[in-house]
Amino acid sequence: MNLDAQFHIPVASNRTGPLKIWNAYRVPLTLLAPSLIFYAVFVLVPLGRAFQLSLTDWDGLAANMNYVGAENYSGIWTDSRFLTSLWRNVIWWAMHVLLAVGSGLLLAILLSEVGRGRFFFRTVAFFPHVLSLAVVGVIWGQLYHPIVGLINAGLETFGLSSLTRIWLGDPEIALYAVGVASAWQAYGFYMVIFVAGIQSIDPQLHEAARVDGANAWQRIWDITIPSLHNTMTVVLTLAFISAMKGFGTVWAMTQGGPGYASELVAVYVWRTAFQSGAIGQAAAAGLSLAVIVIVFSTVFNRWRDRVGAYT
Amino acid sequence: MKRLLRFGRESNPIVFVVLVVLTTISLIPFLWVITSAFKDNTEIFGSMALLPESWQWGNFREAWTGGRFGIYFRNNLFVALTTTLISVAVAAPAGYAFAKTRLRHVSGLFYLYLFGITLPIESIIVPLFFQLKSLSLVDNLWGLILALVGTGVPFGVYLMRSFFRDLPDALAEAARIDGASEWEIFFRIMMPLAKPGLLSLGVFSFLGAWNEFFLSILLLISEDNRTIPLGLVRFQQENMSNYGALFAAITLAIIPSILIYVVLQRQFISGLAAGATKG
Repeated sequence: MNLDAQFHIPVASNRTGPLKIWNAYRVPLTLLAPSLIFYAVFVLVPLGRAFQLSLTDWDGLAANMNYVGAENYSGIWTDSRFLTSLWRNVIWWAMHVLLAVGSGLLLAILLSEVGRGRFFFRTVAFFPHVLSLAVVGVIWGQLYHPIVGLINAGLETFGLSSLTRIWLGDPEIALYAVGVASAWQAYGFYMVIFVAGIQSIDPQLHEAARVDGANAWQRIWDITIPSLHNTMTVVLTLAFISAMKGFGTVWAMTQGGPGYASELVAVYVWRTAFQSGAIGQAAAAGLSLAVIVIVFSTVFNRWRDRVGAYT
Repeated sequence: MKRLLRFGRESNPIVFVVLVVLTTISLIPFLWVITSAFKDNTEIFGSMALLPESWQWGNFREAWTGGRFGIYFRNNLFVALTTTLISVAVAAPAGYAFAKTRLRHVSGLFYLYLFGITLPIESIIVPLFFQLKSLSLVDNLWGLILALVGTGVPFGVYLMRSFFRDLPDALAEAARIDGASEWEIFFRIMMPLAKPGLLSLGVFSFLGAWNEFFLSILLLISEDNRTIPLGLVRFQQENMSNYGALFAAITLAIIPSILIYVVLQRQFISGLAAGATKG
């Protein structure tokens, strides 16, 4: 991202001193002001406040709060409930990568190889992504329904009754069942990003390979996939962020249950703050999540850029 | 579209079949929900038939009035439209400033917005709730709208910046020589040129607000303030046994999102691709 190369509004002033500086900044700052106000009031101030609250024992009701230092942080980072919820987010990320990123990439590549119907397939595959996570959750809640649900009914129809489950009521399965719903919602999104990545590949590379007698498989493996290095970085980062923020589908399907079985960090924050009233602890958990997301995104992108430089 | 069809002109039948299978996976839940919305409970429990034996339009009436989807729809539309208008009005000038200003401090500020894109809203939800509560904005549609605009600002500004950066400077330079003020240049020349970008951000904000769940579930409490996502989840919890009406309610929730997407998909997809790939 090259910021310095793009500046064009000239400084239209021949005055000197503070007035000159004001004149230079007047237009851009006025343009920026509304967004800055919104951003400050609804993101930056709450962020500072979150840090402040994370150092207290406030319960959300009491008139005063006590400063407890880093106690909330040491508390959650030794709390197996929090650590397990974080681990579930990692499982979700793996599921997103395998199911959603995998099928998104496959679809995008197939779309680039198909001549007819490309627009239709792309449109339809994207349908799940335009739904609210709440709607996705309710749909899949019914698909998994033990009696009326399509999944159990389908398994029985194909003589696989032994595989039928109370999907969302089984602590061993609930997390994965919700993860599948979330991946279903996401794969069209990754597909669109991959399609954009594939379109930016120079078609002459493919033409040349064709002339040299490369088959479709060789072209995909030797041209398309390596050319998607940067796109892949973006997609894996987005998949990480979205898996770490997972909430909507879980809340609509299981509310984190049964017990804590499908509780992700966002659900942990929600329950801890608004059901248990442990405001400080919830703030500490939310901020820990933010640090994980930002540090990972930064480190992962740096690493991918370095690796990419050699390919 | 023509340009896209340049390579891969010969369609491999295997490719076609795999594509059909994969897209069917995305469609099956939709087909199942929509056809079930026309069935009565006996059929939903008893049969795997795709089409209902007798079409139960009453399910929709029950969802619309009994589930009060009329109210939810109105609330949702109000939240989505207002959020969209404010978001675009706030993000466009800022995106322009970042795209076309050559002041170091201003461009440094852009990193603050980039930080906001990555910051998970989960980390600020707790204080945000108490802050809105102290402003009497909890259980108030305006509270949700303002919070959505505020948390959406970083991405909106980022997206608008990438659109404005692609606009040529020649027109602005010419207008400047003719004596136009910076404001005239922005409103009369740049904004009209950026229309595709504005539309793109508009569709993006609209669908985002239309589908919002995380903040709504916390900020909207009374029944009269529910949006469709909230109303649907509550409807599911409250109507454990009336499956036909629940499927009709899900169908009612699906239709607007799909319609908006199908009509405005070019703008939506271009915004999405720009957001993910441009720097």
